Amino acid sequence: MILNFIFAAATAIVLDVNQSPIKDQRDSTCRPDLGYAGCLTEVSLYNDPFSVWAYGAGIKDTEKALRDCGGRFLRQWDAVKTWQYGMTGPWNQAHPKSYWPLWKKMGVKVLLTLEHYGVWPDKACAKKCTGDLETVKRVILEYVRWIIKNRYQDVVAGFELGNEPYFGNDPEQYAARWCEIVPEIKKLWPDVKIGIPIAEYRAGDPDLDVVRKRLGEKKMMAGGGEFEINRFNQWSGRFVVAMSNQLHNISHVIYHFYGGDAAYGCSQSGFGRIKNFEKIYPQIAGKRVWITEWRERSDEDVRCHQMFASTLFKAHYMLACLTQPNIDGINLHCISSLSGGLNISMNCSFAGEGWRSGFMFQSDPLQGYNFYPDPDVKEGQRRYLMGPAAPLFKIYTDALMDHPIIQEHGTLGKQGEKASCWSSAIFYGSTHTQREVLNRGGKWKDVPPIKGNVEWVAALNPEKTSLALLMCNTTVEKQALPVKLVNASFSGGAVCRSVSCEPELIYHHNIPPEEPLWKMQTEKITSGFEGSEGTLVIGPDTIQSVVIPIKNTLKY
Amino acid sequence: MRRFVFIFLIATGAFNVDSWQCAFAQEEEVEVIETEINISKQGATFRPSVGGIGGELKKLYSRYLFLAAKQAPRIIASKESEKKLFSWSVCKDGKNSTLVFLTRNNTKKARKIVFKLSDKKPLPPTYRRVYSVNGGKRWKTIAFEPPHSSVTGCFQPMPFPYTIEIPPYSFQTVTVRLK
Repeated sequence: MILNFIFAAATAIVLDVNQSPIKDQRDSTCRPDLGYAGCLTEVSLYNDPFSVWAYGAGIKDTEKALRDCGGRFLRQWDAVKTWQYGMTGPWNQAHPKSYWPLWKKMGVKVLLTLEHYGVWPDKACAKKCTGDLETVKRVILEYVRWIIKNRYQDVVAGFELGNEPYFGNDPEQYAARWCEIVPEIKKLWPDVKIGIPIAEYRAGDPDLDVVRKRLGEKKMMAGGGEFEINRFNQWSGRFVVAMSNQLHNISHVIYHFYGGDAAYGCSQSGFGRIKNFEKIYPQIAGKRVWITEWRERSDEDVRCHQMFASTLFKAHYMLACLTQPNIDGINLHCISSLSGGLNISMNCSFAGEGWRSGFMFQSDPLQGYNFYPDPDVKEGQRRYLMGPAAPLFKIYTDALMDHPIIQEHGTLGKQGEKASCWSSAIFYGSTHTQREVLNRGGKWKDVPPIKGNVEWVAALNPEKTSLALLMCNTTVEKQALPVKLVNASFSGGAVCRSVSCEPELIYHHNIPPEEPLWKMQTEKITSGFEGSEGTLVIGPDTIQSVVIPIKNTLKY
Repeated sequence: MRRFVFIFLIATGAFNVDSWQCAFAQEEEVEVIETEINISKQGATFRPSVGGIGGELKKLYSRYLFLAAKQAPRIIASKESEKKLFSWSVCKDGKNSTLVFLTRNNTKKARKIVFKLSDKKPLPPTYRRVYSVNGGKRWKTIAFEPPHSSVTGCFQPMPFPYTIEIPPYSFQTVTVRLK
C-alpha cells in the first residue's frame, strides 16, 4: 500500500518573468516541438489500406484522434515516394490531396524525410524505381514545387536528408548526391529548414542490436563490438566532411536516440553526444538539432510502452529536451504500433488466415499473433483509441501552444543550471529493479524504493500574462512545491490538467480496447495563489500542466 | 490507535481499496491448484455460457468470455468445486499457439493455478478480469498484462513456475500465447 503523505519541498520554484528565456518556440518550425514520428500515411499494413481510410472515410476520426493525442508535430518517412505513389490514387495509399489540407487546417507541422536512393521515373509509378541522380533530383524538385504551388510551406517543419543512412556504407557518395540536390531545393525555397542525419552510438545501444537483427549481420558493417560502432560514428564524420560545400544550406543536425538508461542516447548522455560531436566537427557547431526518433527501447518490445511507467519516463525526457536551447523538434517513435500514441484497430489479413480486427503492432517475431483482438468492432470497421502517451502529449502540447517561451526548468529543490536532466535515466534504471522483484512473484513491500523526482518546466505566453508549469512526479508521494514570482504576481485561479496512475499499477500493461489503467482529470484551483507566492501540488506518479494568469509588476 | 490510523489513511486518500485488492500479491494464504496441460489433446468445442450469474457481472463477463471463445474454441480441461462457487477450465486455439484459462471464483478465498506444459513455453499472460471488492455486491473490470520480466519481456517466457493468479470474487479470462 502506498502512503500518500504530502511532502513539501524546502526550496521554492523562483521565477523571474523578465529574465532571458531558455528558448522561444516561435522560432521553431516544429512548434510545439514535442511530436510523433509517423503521420498515418505509413499505416497501410497487413493488407489493410488503412491510410486510405484514415484520410478518406475516416478523416473526421483521424482529426479527432490527432487532437486527442496531441499530434501537432509529425514526421513522414519516405515522403517523396509516398507522394509519388499516392498521386496515382492507388487502393492502399492515401492521396496527398486528402491529408495535406487536413494538416494545414489543423496547424499540424510535418517533418518530411526525403530519400535520394530511388524514385519512380514516371508519374504512373508503373516503371521500375531508379536511383539515377538526374531523375531523383527531378522528382524531388517536382515534389518541392508541388508543396509551394499548393501553399503548404507552413505545414512543412523541414526536410530530413534520409532516414538513418548511416546503416549504409558510402558517406561520400551519399553526400555527393545531396550536394547536387540541396542547392536546387534552396533555389526554389530559400527559407526551408534542412537537416542532416548523424549517428552517434555507444556499445550496447538497443537500436543497433535491433537493426542488426532486422537487416541481418551481412548487411551491417564488418567487424564487431566497439569497432563496429566506431564505423557508424566515422560515417557521420565522413558525411559531414563530404557535405562541406553545402553545410551553409543545412540548418539542423538530426539524431535518433534509443535506450533510456543513463549510458544510452535517450538520456542526458545523448545531449552530451550532440555537444561532443560539435567539438570534433566544428563545421556543424551552432546548427540546431532535431531528434526525429527517440524511445527508451527500440523495436524489441513495443508493448513495454503500454505501461504508465513508460509514459512517466517519456514525460521526464520531454521536459529535459524542452530545456535544451539547441533542440527544436523531437519525434517519439511512433504515433501508432502500440508505441504510446494511438492504439489503432485495423482490419488485417495474414496469409491464409482470413480477416480479423486487431490493434496494430510493430515487429512481432511470432508473425502477427501479438495482435490484441478488438471485439467491439464489426468486420471492416477501424478505429483509434488513445495510448498511454497520448494524455501526456495532449497536456503538454496544449499548454505549449499558448506558452511558447520556455522560461525555466527544475527538479525537486533545484532549478536552472543546477537542475539535473538525468531524472529520466535515474527513474528508468530504478524501474528495472522494481520490475525484476515483481516479476519473480515479489510483493510491493519487497520492492526497493523508486528513484523518482519532480521535474518541471515553466513557460510563458508572449504577453507574459499567463504562466504554464509542465510537471512530472515519479515519486510515490504527493509533492507540494512553493512557487515565488519575481517581477510578477498571480492574478487569478489556476487550471490543472493531469494524468495519473495508481503507483501499484504503473508496470501493468494496458490491453486495448479495455479501460485504461490511468486517469485524466481537469481541475480548477481557486485558492493558493496570492500575490507573488503560491504552492503547486502534484500527486504521485502524475503528469500535469498548471496554467495560471499572472501580471507583470516591474515598474520601468 | 488502529482506528485512528485507518481514518487518517482514508482522509489522506491513501487507502485505495481497488488497487490494493487487485494487487497480485495477496497477503493471506492462497490455495494452489496444480495441473498439467496437454496441448496436443483435441478437446471439445467450447460453448461459452454465463449460466449461474446475472446482472452487472453477467454483462461484464460475457464480453470477455465470448472473446475467449473466439481466441480459443477448443476446451481441453475443466474443473468445478462441489458448491459450484469456484471453477476453472482451459481452452486452446486450433494451432496450439494460444491457451485461455477461464476462472470463476465466487468465494472470498484467493487461489492460483500452477501449470506444467511440455513442448512449448508460455509468454506473459493477458488478464481480463471482472472483480468485486465488496463480496460480490458491485463488480468492476480491469485488463492488463502483469509486469514483464525484462525490457524485452513480451517475447520472453513466463517465469517458472507458470502461474495464473485468481483473486477472491473474480471472473476472468487469461490468455497465454505459446512460443
